[in-house]
Parts: sequence; structure tokens; C-alpha cells
Amino acid sequence: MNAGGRRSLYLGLAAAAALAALPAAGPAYYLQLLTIVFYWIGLAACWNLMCGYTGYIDFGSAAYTGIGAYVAGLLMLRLGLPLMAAAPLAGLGAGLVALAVGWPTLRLRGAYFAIATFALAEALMQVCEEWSGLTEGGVGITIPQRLAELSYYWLYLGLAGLVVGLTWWVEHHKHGYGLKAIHQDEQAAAQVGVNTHLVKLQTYVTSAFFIGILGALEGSRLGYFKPDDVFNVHITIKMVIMSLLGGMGTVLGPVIGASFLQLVEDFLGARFLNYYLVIIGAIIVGVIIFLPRGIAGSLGQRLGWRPWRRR
Amino acid sequence: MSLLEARGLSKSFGALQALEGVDLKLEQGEILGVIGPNGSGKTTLFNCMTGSLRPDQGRVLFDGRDITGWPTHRICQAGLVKTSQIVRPFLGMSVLENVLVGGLYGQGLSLRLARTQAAGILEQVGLAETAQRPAGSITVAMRRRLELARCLATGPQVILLDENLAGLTPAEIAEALELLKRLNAQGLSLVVVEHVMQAVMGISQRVMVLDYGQKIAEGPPAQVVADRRVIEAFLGEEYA
Repeated sequence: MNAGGRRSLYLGLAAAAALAALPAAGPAYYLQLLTIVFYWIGLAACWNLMCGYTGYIDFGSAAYTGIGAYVAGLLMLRLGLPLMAAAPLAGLGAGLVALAVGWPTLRLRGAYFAIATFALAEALMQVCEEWSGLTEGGVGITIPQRLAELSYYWLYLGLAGLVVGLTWWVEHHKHGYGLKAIHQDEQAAAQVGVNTHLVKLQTYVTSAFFIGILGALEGSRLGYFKPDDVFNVHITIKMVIMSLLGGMGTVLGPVIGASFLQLVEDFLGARFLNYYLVIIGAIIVGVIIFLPRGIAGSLGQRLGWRPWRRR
Repeated sequence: MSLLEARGLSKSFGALQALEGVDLKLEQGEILGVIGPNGSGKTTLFNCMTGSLRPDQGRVLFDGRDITGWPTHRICQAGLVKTSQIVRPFLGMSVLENVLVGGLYGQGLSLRLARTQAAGILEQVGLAETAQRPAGSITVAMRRRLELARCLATGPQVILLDENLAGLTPAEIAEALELLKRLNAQGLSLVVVEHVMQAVMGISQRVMVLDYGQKIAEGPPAQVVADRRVIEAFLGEEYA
């Protein structure tokens, strides 16, 4: 680890300590807001790990929050498993589906991959709607187990930290070079020995695994959900926008993007209920025009700080 | 047995027969030149041998193994790589990082070893000074050398060079040829596709000529350029 890396690590640890103290500082509402922020940091970081680094735009990531929520929910409901056992199993379930789906679709490129993954999420939602014998269909399911609010804060903080840490690790190791080479020119990457399909598949499955766990936990936090709550395309879009705002293919991009969007949304939503989405839309357009590499990418570049590249 | 051998390679794109029963043999330590007019199938031949294209017919044997139909990355790891006619550096990465990818994946080196190796290779091809610059910011001549450096990092036994000298000035060509000769002297076998005739003739021990997807001549350079069919293919019937 070089000096810059060590400095980032210390900064990270200091930030983690501050975050641990944070929920105790404010009223209950802030705990809930922070919980949601970390949930989204986790999701955006998962999306960024795969899509930000390879350039493959997954437009169906909600498939994995949905699978996570339903697999964990049904395991708890039907088999009486505790949440802490059901959530990792839900992650595995999401990972397995990602393996089966990624195998053929990761050979597709550009818009074709986006369309295929989008169709997957929509199709799975329909399956959950129709297969009411298993999933209760559109009626939705009520989760019998709920943890204390503070536990969700810790779990999301931990998972977000884990995925961001994993991204940092990937960025500085062999796998990261493979991903970036694929992003730049897949054919050329294969020509110098990168097994592009395997590298993409590993990343995609890992990303889906964590999305599945997050989906499982969020399902239990909500307590009740229907297929179109957890397979909703808006979940995917939010992951995309957060990564885009923060800076795709950067370690801190999703952290900045998710915090920014979630906090702005909360702030504006409370004050301008009727047209806060318009304002958010304008902010997103503005960021994309003036900071095309995202907040972390563009500001970092201006300050001579390049979180995406190791010197 | 030859180090690299293609037997009866055929490939067509729709009605266009790009390759028709082409044989190629490369011995250990040899430099083989491949020449031919535009569209004669040189690049297709390379693509069929390195897995970018699957030949319709024929086999490719490398180092005692039948590698026909293997994926590109596996052929590369086995020791057979090609440079692209259109240079394709990873633009967003530094020059050093470009070479790093070859060492990491082509040879499966650790990051530490790959770094050391990449620095050495950049020194060898004369890009040491640009190591930290983004690959998108260097000149065409440098990109050609980077393309070669990236191939070298994969630890190849054979490099197929697809017009690696295109667009270079005579001085740059002379320099590049020196480099290729040095690499060859170190035991690397080369197949060189080139439009610059003197270049191929100068460094190749043997030359084969393609025209309309078929091999029309093969032999020592001096003998091949005197061949009637070769002159016809390049200059037209009236000069033959």
C-alpha cells in the first residue's frame, strides 16, 4: 500500500468512527434517514462495481433487490428461518440467478445488455405477481421479523462499507485492471489474455449477491411489500443516477452520489412536495452537463485528485 | 514440427471468399513475412489464427496443440498474440498500466512482478519516459510501440504483427525494424504482415504472398519478388 492508500485508509477509519457515533447525536428521524442513505450507498456501490467499471449498463438491477426480498421473505415466512440466516441465502439466490442470466447476456453489448437485464427484472416481477401459490402474488407478503432501527443502520453501514472497500480493493488489484481494460476495449483486452467473459461474470455475480442481501434486509425493514415495490424499475434508475452523479468507475462515486441524491431528495421532498422531482431533475441535468465525470470524478480532476487512478 | 502451423484455412464472409485453403508454417526463431494487396486476406488469416474469427475449414496448430476454435485469451495465454492493424490502446489508462494488463492476464503475474516486467519492456521499446502518461496522449508511432509492448508483456513465443509499421516515417520504421530484429535474436518468432515492402523483405527470412485469399508464392524474399504471379498481383499484368 502506498502513502496515498494508507492515508485513504486512515481517513476511512476516522469516517467510520464518526458514522458510528452519528445516529446517537440526532433525533429518531435522522437515524432513519441515515439508514436509508447507507442502504442506497450499498446499492449504488454494487451497481458501480459492475457497471461503472466495465461500462456494461445493467438496467435490471432491481431484479436482485426483488429476488433478495422475496427469497428471504419466503424463507422466513414458510420455513421460519431467522433473518440473519435468510439474508445471506437470499444473496446466494440472487448470485445464482445472476450467474444464470449473466452467462448468456454478458456476451451482449451496449444497449442489448441493458434491454436484456431490464426485461429480466420486469419478467421476474410478473412471475411474482402471477405465482400467488408461492409468493401471494399482488397481495404482497408481510414479514414476521423486524430488527431494531439501529440494527438496520449498522447492517447497511457495514454492507456499504464492505462493498466500497471491495471496490477499493478491486481498483488496486489485478481484477480492476481487467475490468478497466474491458471497459476501454473488450477485443483488445481478450488479445492480451483477459478472459473477459469470466471477469465480467465474477463481478456481476458478486454485485448481485450484495444487492440480494440488501434487498432481503430492506424487505424486512419495510415489513410488508408487493412485487412492484421490490422489483420496481425506479430502484434501478436510482442506482444508475447515484453512480452517475457521484462518478462511475470511482471508489467514492457511489458514496457521494447516493448521499447527495438521498439527502437532497429528503430536504426538497419535505419542502416542495409537489414539484421537488422537477428540481431534482434539474440538478441531475446540471451535474451531468457541468461535471460529466460525476462529482467525485470531475471535482477530483480539478483538484488534481484522482480517486480512479493510482499513481 | 513447426512452432505454428495453419493447415488449409478457409474463411468466407457471405459471398466473399476471404481465405481459401491457406497453409502457413513458422519455425522456432523465424521471421515470416506475409504480403499481399489490400483485401487479399492477411488480416483474416491472423484473426483466424488468434481466435478473433473461427475458420470455416482448416486447423491451427501451435506448440504441438490444436488451438482451432480456442478463445482469444486462451490462445494468448498459450503464447500466441497479435498486434492489431488499428492500434487499440486502453485510452483511459496510463502507458504503464496498458502493459501491466498483458503481464497480469497473459502470464498471470502478480501485480508486483507485472510492474517490474512492464517497466523493463517499456525501456526495451523506448517508451520508458512516457510510462505515466495517459495512453491517449501519445503519438501514433508511440502507440504502435505500445501495442507491441503490450503483446510482449503477455510472454509470447510468437507475435503476429499486423501492419505495425503503418503510418510511420522512414526513420521510425528503421528504428522499429531494429527492435524487431533484437526481439527475434532473443528467440521470439514473428509473422509480419506489412505494406512497406522493403521492411518485410529486409527482416523476413521467408515470405509468403496472398492474393484473393490464396497463397500464390512462398520462399526467400529475393525469389518471391521475382515471381511473375507476384508482380502481376501487385502491379498488374502489363508489368509482369
